Amino acid sequence: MKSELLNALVSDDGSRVDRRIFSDEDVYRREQETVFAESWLFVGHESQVSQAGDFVLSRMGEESVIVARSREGQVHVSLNSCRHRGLPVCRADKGRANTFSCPYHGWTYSCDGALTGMPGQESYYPDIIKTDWGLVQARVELYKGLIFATFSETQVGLEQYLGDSRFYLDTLVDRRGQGTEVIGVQKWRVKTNWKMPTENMVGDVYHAGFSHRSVFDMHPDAKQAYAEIESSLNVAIEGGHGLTARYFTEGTPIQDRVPCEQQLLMLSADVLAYYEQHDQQTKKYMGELRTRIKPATSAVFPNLHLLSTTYCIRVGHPVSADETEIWNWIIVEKDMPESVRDAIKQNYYFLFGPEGMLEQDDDENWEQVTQGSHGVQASRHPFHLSMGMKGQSEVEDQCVELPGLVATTRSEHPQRNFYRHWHQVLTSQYGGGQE
Amino acid sequence: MMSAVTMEEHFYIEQALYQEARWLDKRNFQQWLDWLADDVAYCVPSRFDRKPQGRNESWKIDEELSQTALDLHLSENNKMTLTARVMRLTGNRSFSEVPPSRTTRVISNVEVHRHEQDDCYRVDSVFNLQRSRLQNQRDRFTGRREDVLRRKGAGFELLQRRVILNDTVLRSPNLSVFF
Ligand code: FES
Ligand SMILES: [Fe+2]
Repeated sequence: MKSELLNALVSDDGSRVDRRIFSDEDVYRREQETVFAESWLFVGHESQVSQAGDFVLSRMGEESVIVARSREGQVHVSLNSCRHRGLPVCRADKGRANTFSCPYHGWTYSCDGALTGMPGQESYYPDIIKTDWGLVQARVELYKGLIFATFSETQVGLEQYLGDSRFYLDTLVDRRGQGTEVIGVQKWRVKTNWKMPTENMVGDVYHAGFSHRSVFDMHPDAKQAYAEIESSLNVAIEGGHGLTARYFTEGTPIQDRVPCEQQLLMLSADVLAYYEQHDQQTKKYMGELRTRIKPATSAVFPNLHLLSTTYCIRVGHPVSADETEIWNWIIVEKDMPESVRDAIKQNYYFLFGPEGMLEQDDDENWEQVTQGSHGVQASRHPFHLSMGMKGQSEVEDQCVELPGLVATTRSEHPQRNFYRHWHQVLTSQYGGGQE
Repeated sequence: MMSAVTMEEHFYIEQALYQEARWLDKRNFQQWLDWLADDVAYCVPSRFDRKPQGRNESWKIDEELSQTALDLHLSENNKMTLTARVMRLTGNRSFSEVPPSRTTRVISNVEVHRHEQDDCYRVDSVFNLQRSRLQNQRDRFTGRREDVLRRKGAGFELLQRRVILNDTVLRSPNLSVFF
C-alpha cells in the first residue's frame, strides 16, 4: 500500500476511518510487523503456570508461543518454532514438561527456551554453540498476575505502557491484594478483523440498546441493567486504551455498586455477601474512590479485553484480515468461595462466550462489519466516528478526578483514541516515507 | 454383553433421537423443550490438545475435556437457561438467528445401554450438524453425544446430554444451535 494511502487511513481527529483497515491484506501484514511486533501483548495468567515446568501455549499476533515456568521459577515466553527447520516444538495446549522435543530431528529445548540436546550432537554438530540456538525469547513482564510479552527491544516498560489504564484495571485484578486466578479457556473464531472486538470494548455502549434488545426485553431487571450501562462514562486513555465504566456518587451503598452485572446475574445472596464482607478492606486497599468505579468493558491496546462485570478477560488473536480467534477466561479472586465462583460461571455461560446471549449478537455484528468493509465502492466511503464531537473538536473532560479523557457514553472518543493510536503505531515504523 | 436392552427398547429410543433431530431442524423448539426433563443437564465441554503421558490412561478422551473447577465449558445449561435461550431465539430480535440458520442433523452409531437407575438408559450417538446461514455462512459441528434418557409415560425424556466436539477451537462464531 502506498504511503499516502497508508497515512490517510485514519483522519487526524480519528473521526473518519477507512474501511480497508478491516479487510485489506497489506494493512493486516503491516499490523503484524508493527502493532503486534511492538506492543506488549497479553499471553496468559500466572496461575496457569504456577509450578516449575508448567506450560501453556499462547499466541502473540499470529504466532504460537510457549509460556512456561523454568526450573528457576521464572516465566519465559518462547517462540514455538524450532531453530532448525521451524516446526512447533510444543503441540499440547497445556501441561507440565521438563523439555520440548522437536518431532522432526529431535532438537530439545528446556522451559526457558535453551537448546539442551540434539541427537548425535558430537558427530553431526561438533562445533555448534548451543547458546546461540535456543528458542527465540520474548521480553516478559507481569502486572499483578497478568503475563505480558513483547518482541520489541525498544518498547517502554509494561507499567508505563499500561499507563492510566492500571487505575481501572486494578478494580478487576487487584481489589485487595489477595491475588487472582483464571478459569478457562474457551476458544472460538469470528470472521471479523481483530480491531472490531477491540473498538467495541473501548466504549461502544451505543450498540447495546438496539443490538442486545432481545436480552434486555426478557426481564424488567435486565432493562434496569441496560439503563445503568447507558448512564456510564466513556474513558479514553493515552496509548490507545479505553473503557466504559459506571461511576457512583459518594455514599452509594455497597449493594448498588458491587462490581458485577447485578441485574443480569442470577445473583445469589452469596455474591452480595462476599462484597459486603470485603468492602472496608477494599476501600482501604484501593482507595474509596475506586470502589465507586465499576468498569463494564475495557480494552488494553491492542487486543486485550476485559468484561469486568462478568469477570471476563480475553484476547482477540488476529488470524487473517478477516478472522479473529477469541480466547476467553474468567478471572476471580483466589479466596472467592465456590458458591460465588459458580454464580459467576453460570452468569458467564448465559451472557458471553459462543453461546452467550449477548455475545451471539456481538459476534454476528462484527462479522457483518467485515462484510461491509470489502468492495471497491463501499471502501471509498469511510466510517463515521464523530459521535460526541462539537464540529471539529473532541469532547471535553467531564471528570477531572478520574484519569483519562472522561465523557458520557454519547461519545465515541475512546474509539477515536484507539484508531488514532493504532494509526500512529502502524505508520511510525515506516517513517511515513517509503512505500 | 452387559446390561443389554431389548430390540424394541433400542428401536424406540433410536426413533426418539431422530425425532428430536427433526424438531430442531424444523425449528419446533417448543416440542424440543418439552422433551427435556425438568432437571435436564446439558453440557458441551471445551477440548484441548494434550500430550499423552503414559501408555493407556493418557489416551482417555475425558483428559482432553474441560472438567475441573478451573475449566470453562463451551456451554452449560439447565431447563431454565435453555428455555430462556429458546424464548430469545424465537423473539426475532436475536440477530445471530435473523434470518435463522438452516440446519441438518445426521444422527448415527446409536448404542443403548441400561443405566444404574431403573427407569433410565445410557444412549451414545454420533452426530454431524451442518448449518448454513445467509448466502455464505457454513459451519459444521461433528462429535459424539453421551445422553441419559428417562422413561416418561409411553416414551422418553432427555435427562442428561454431554456433547463431545472434535474441535479444540470452535470454528463458528456462536453456538446458537442445539446439539
Ligand atoms: S526441525 Fe526441529 S529438529 Fe529439525
Ligand atoms: Fe455487545
